[in-house]
Amino acid sequence: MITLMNVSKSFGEKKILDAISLTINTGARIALTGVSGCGKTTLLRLIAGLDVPDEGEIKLSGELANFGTEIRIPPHRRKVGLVFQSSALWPHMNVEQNILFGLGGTPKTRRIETLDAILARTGTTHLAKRMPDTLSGGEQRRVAIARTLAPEPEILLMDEPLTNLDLAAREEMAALIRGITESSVMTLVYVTHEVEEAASFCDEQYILKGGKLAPTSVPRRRKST
Amino acid sequence: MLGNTHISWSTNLARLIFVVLILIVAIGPLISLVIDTASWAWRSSATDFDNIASWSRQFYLLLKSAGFAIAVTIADVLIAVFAASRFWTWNTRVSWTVAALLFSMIAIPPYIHILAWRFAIDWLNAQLGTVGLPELVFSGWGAAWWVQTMALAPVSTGLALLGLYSVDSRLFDVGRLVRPDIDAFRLIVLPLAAPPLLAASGFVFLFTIVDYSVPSAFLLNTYALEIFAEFSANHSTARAFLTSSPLLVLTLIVLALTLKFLRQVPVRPHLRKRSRQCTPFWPRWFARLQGLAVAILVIQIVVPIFSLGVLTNNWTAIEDAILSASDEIMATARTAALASVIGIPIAFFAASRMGRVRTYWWFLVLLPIGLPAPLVGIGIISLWNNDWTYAVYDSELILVLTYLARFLAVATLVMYAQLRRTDSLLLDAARIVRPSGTAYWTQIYIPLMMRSGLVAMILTFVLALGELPASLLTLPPGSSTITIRVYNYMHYGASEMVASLCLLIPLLTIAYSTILFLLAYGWRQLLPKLPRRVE
Amino acid sequence: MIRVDITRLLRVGILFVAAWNLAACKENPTVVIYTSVDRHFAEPILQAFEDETGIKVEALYDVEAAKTTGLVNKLIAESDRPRADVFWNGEFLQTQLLAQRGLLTAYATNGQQDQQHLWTAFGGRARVLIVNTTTLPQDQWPDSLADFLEDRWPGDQMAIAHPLFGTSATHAAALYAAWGDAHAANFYRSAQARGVRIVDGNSVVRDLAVKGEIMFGLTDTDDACSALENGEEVAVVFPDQSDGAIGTLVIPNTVAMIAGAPHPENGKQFVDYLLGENIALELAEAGWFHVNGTDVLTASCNLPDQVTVMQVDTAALYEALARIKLELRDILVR
Repeated sequence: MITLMNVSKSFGEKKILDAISLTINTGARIALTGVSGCGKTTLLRLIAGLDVPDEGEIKLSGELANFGTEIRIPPHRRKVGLVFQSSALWPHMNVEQNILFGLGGTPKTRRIETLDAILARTGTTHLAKRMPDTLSGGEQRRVAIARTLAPEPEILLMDEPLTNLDLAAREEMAALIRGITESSVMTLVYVTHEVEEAASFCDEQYILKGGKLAPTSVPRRRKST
Repeated sequence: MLGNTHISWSTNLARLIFVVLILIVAIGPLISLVIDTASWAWRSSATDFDNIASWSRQFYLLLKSAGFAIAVTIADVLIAVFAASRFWTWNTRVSWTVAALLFSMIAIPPYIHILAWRFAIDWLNAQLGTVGLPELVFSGWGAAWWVQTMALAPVSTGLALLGLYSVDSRLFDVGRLVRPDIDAFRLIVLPLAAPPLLAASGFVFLFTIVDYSVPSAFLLNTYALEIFAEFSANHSTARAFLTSSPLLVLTLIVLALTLKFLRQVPVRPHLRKRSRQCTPFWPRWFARLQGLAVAILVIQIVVPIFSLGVLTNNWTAIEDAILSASDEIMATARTAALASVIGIPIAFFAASRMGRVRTYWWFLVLLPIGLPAPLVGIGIISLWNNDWTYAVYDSELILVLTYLARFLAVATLVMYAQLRRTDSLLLDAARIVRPSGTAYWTQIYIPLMMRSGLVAMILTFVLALGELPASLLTLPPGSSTITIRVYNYMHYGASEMVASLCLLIPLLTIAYSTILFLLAYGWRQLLPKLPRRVE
Repeated sequence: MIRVDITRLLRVGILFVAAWNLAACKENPTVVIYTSVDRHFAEPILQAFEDETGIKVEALYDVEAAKTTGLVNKLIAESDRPRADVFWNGEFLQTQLLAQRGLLTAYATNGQQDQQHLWTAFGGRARVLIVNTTTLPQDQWPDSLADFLEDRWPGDQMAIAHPLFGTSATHAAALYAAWGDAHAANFYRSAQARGVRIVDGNSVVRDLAVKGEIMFGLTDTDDACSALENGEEVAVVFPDQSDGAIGTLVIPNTVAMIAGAPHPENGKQFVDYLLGENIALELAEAGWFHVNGTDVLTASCNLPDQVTVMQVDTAALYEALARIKLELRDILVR
């Protein structure tokens, strides 16, 4: 469960998030929409612990993760996975190494098993030894998801994962994300510009506007985006 | 079709101009020395070669010098990594200010660092004596290593900071979510920041191995002194060049290794502004080492400034120094600035060719780093002191050429490290959508290269400010530079004049850096505006 | 578009170089002086010459840190198209080197000249011992160079400047001539072996003596006397003055006309001016010269009125200099 209480964040004079309160139950899938620059990514970064709020509290599974600017749980202990708009693959590691990075403390046999499973699940087994710069945009996105899922996060944050993909790749990715989210109990926070895309993955939808968060109605779920 | 032919012709002409410029400015002195040496060897009898080499002694000296340079390089790279990783998490403006401050200290001549550290240790020993504690011993290799490390720490830290800033912060963010921050830093950020770090280590190693002044001040002999001894004994450029050849070979090896690693580092471009991060959670040992490195750098800045301040004693001395050396101050600032401005497009071109053409190109462009500075000066005289180019030789422009001959290789290395991070696809895409040459350069290429360009310019400027051995030879009569003036008066110990002039050197660098940053800011303001967004 | 840029670039470049060259055009009359004499002493003399004659002086000064690889090498490198008119040197062997290489032209003066009138010697600096009077009472002061090898003083309490460079190199060559090769080489070898500090320059020797880091050292009179004049706790001693001793080396300044100089007449005028009696006195008062022949010029350094001077054969010293330097390099640079 993710709980935000009166979370505010400003950049300079501009207040991006204004006393936002929100509770996301375990296993819930929510979408955040809003125009460019409204603070969607900032909210994800606050949940992930990559940035700190100016005020307010963030709780993860009931445990206080942030109290104002003080971080109580560092990012790597939050069991949060984040898929960026760009894949942000580490260019000096091959696909396999990118995925294994998050399995640092796991015993070797378990790591190999997890790697094989995750590669199979994301359809990237054939890419295991390839370097990121040799992959297509869609392949990079798949690997990024594989890398995020490998450490088995409890919360999955996705920041416009379908942006800048061609139609075929979008459909493939959408199917992959849907498969992952529907077959697990991960909490999903999905950021997008597009209301319909949000509806295809999520049960609840919020719009961020003027620093405030407001629920919106969820259109009928569609099979593809 | 016509257009293509036209562009191809003019592009080739531009390339030709740059190649000629590089051949004349950077490699010319080296070529001139090689020709002089070959001609001397042709004319000489066997006895002329006597005593050039005494293998076991020279080999041991070379080994000692290389060991010293390696020790300095390791220390400087460690200070750079720990200190830069701390600055990196600060506000961007603050860390750029720190970088500019650090760079401003580079031009303080090594002798001043020696003087400052001796002064500081004497002062400390006096304090220790009053409380009955034993005095610190400041001599031998340890002291030389410390002073040399301190003198070059600003360069390595500044370049390390450039390296860290060139890493897309999202790559660190992703790593932070699954592994402790220190792992993400060690395994993701450091390997990706490697190009400027490698350039920094190459720079520190080569500058240490060709400089005799610091070891010599602590009564230690290095191979660089051997070259001076040879030059001083026979006044034969050819013999001195032959004596310096082991250093050139070593330079080649270091450059080859540096570039090999530079080429191996896979990089990707990033155009995004650095995302705002919360301060990483460093392990205690790492945070302590960071603190220690920052403290060392602060000391590195404070000790010379404090010592010089005490020696200067009053503002009147500074005023007098400015008034009496105003010609030198202006001439140095003018020529160093011009060298940095002219050097950037040449360095950029040289760096861009290094990625494409064969090995001989980088070999030629970068080799002058390993050439002893007086030989560069002699090479420049051979090249420019003739009827055709006498007007240039007899003007301040020869100082600009001297600075370029000595430091273009450094600027090229910095530009190459940045170019390794710039996606050629991105540039090709820009070419397609914006075929106009001017717009392509002003709106795409220059902004992309702005950061490393500024660093290379400041580095060239600051190195030029502190240059002595080559400019002493090429300086036109009737003129002088601020550093030569400092050394002219050094004979009388640390006089008020010397101290005041040395205090002016970092101030000049800060002023020049400020002007460059303002110009860069102005340039960005002139670019077509995109809506700014914070997500 | 690119072509236009290049053309513009070329035009701007040509205009820039042309403007620079115009700016570089020198007014006549001018004289170009290269001098290894410390700027502190030389500049007022050059300024006075300029004021008196109206001939603009364009000077280049050497620095101690360049270790004799500065102006002499510049003169050699410029020999195909000389730029200097006059070389005013703080010692004589480097001038002799230029003479041997055919870079000087004869100019007869009334002063003490070499046989071909290629250079004139004047004034003099002596190689003296500087003693720290706090650590060493007068009855323990050294009085000979041989004292550097005496066990009475710890090796690390003594210093000499590197004998490969500057006046220390001239002194080394003189000692080789006076003592013989084997004795002189042994002197330096033994000095190094017993830990005598071989430092970066004569001013460093002075500074070490002033700070009390050494008991005594070997330096030039201008360095040693400047410390005394600043009120430091030091004394200056002429070494080897006893009967039968080799005497103290006195190193005169030399001035020479450069062959093919661009302004020979102005150069000659400067040489005459420099050799005038007033200048030697002025330089003595300023603290550059302390000796002329066997006469000690200034009283400020607490030196005797007369000095026994070491006899040297300039030509012989020059012939041996390169060989001696290389031998010393092999002994000392390790």
